[in-house]
Amino acid sequence: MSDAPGTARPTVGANARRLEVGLAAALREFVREPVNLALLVVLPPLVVVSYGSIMSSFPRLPYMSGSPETLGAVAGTLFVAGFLPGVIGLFQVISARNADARLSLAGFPRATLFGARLLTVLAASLLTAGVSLAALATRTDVASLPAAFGVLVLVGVLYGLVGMLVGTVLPRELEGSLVLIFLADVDEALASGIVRTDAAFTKLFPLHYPHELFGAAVDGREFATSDAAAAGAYVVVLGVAALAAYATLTGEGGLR
Amino acid sequence: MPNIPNSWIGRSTARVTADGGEPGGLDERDGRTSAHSDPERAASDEAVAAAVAAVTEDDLDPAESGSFALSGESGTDAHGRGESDGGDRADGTVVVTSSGTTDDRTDVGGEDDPLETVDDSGSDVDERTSGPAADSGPDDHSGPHDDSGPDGGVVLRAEGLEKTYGSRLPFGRAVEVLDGASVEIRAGEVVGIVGENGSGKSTLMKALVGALDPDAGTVETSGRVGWCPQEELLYDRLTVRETFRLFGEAYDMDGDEVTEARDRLADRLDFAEFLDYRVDQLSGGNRQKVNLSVALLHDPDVLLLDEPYTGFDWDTYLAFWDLTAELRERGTAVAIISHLINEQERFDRIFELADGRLSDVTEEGSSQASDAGVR
Repeated sequence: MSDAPGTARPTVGANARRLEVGLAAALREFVREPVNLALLVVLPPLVVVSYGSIMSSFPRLPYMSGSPETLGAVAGTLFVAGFLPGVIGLFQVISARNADARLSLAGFPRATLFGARLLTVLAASLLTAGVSLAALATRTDVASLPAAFGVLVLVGVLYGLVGMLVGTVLPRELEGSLVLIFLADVDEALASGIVRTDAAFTKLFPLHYPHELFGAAVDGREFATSDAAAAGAYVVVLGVAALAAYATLTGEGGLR
Repeated sequence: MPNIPNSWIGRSTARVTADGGEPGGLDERDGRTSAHSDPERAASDEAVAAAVAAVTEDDLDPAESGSFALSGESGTDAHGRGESDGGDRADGTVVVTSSGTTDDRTDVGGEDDPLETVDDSGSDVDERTSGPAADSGPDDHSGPHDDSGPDGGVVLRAEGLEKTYGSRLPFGRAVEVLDGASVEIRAGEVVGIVGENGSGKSTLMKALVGALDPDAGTVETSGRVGWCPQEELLYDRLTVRETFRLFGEAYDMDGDEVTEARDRLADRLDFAEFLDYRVDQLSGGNRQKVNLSVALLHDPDVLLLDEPYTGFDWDTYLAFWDLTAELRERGTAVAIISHLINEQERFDRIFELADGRLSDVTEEGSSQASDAGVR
């Protein structure tokens, strides 16, 4: 006689299986919206080229570390590599928040569900990073493509977490997207060196340290340990914050 | 400890049908006592159909209710009312307190009342494995549907629920929805909860299932809970098949169990041909079938349904009530929330939610029940 569902079953590997099922579901949801894929493929080169072209008409100011065109292309690369996964993270949370809450109430572990969402963001980050780096490489010499790719993926995950966090706090697609685009734009402008500022608060923005790392990868310099550690710490802190917010959103009493 | 959901608990015993056979096929009838033979059922359905034909358009609001307004005079109690008041108590309990904490326990003895409550200050989530279920192996099939326990088979108890929706804006209006709502539901009972639009029925349902924290009060449930929300709360771009797979994982069912339950429900509610359709490509009625089936997938002991037959066609509506009758005969407690309850005789008890409180209007039949939307 078999047991009833949910009874007397071993749980070894259950979470791994659930993560697999949850990730497959999240990826299917993502790729079945063709606009998502189209944006990830079309927008990065568009942004990189247009940022570089627009900045090429600017004069090179004394504090700039490179030509305005290169600075613009690099800034565009980092912006789009962060912004797009950020929007996907935002939509991952907003579009499915009530269904996620029901699934969580049904017994699907929230951390696993969050992991599946985050892995989907990671997949989007990989795609965006690859496409945007390819676009940059056609305009600028990139000394270390693997390192630059790694930094762009880091940027994607970082902003994906920001997007998930924004989605839990401000669960509206339009308003959330506006917050993200404003944040990413200001963040990259401050981090890129296009706008001169020595204000310490700029180091609190998500892209400050990744930008330093990306500059090193493009120029062929070694990563500064402090920059890498700070960027990693930023990801960890954002990850914990996003998980906590997501768990609250989808947990008991979280449905509205 | 298995990963037990915070809002419902999986018993550590298997569930069997009344004949002691394999667990819970919804279409299994062998060994179950039924109040009516098939001819009687057919006669009842004919009476219902006749009543439908007699209903004026003013009585119908299919766009809103998706159902039909009927008088309760089609006659008989077609569902063996009260027959399921016998059996073991469920072993697991879930307690939600006013602070929103949830206490899942499949308890290891010592507690007289399997429906346990934690006080408002509790913030822990406690999972235990309980009583006879915990002590017995998987082959000990003490089910939840015997109400010989100390609580007379109560599988859901809510006491003093209060909920006010506040406004985050300075001049916004706070809306008091629940004001001390209390209810008990026993195993094998079909309970209707009726109320006007905006009376707080869905808020009550969310509080009962743990999807919404009440400001005060407690909710205790025993056994596995199935919840069919008014809005589907499904993933639009997943197929029906994928949806069942995902929720089956949540219920900790393996692939074969999911397939068996899914196919049985799809056949029963007539949506088998849509299994490979995306949810957002289904009609409203078929989405509702999937919504209901997700709640039934894991064969719950307590079934909470919020406007469950919205959008159903007549055949599906009848199939729904046949299914409900079978569940009840097996001891499943079913609570159905609706702004308009049809066919009063299908319910054991009917409550009206008004002014934030629940009152039993079963016996008052005519005027108050009619005012409350019971027909």
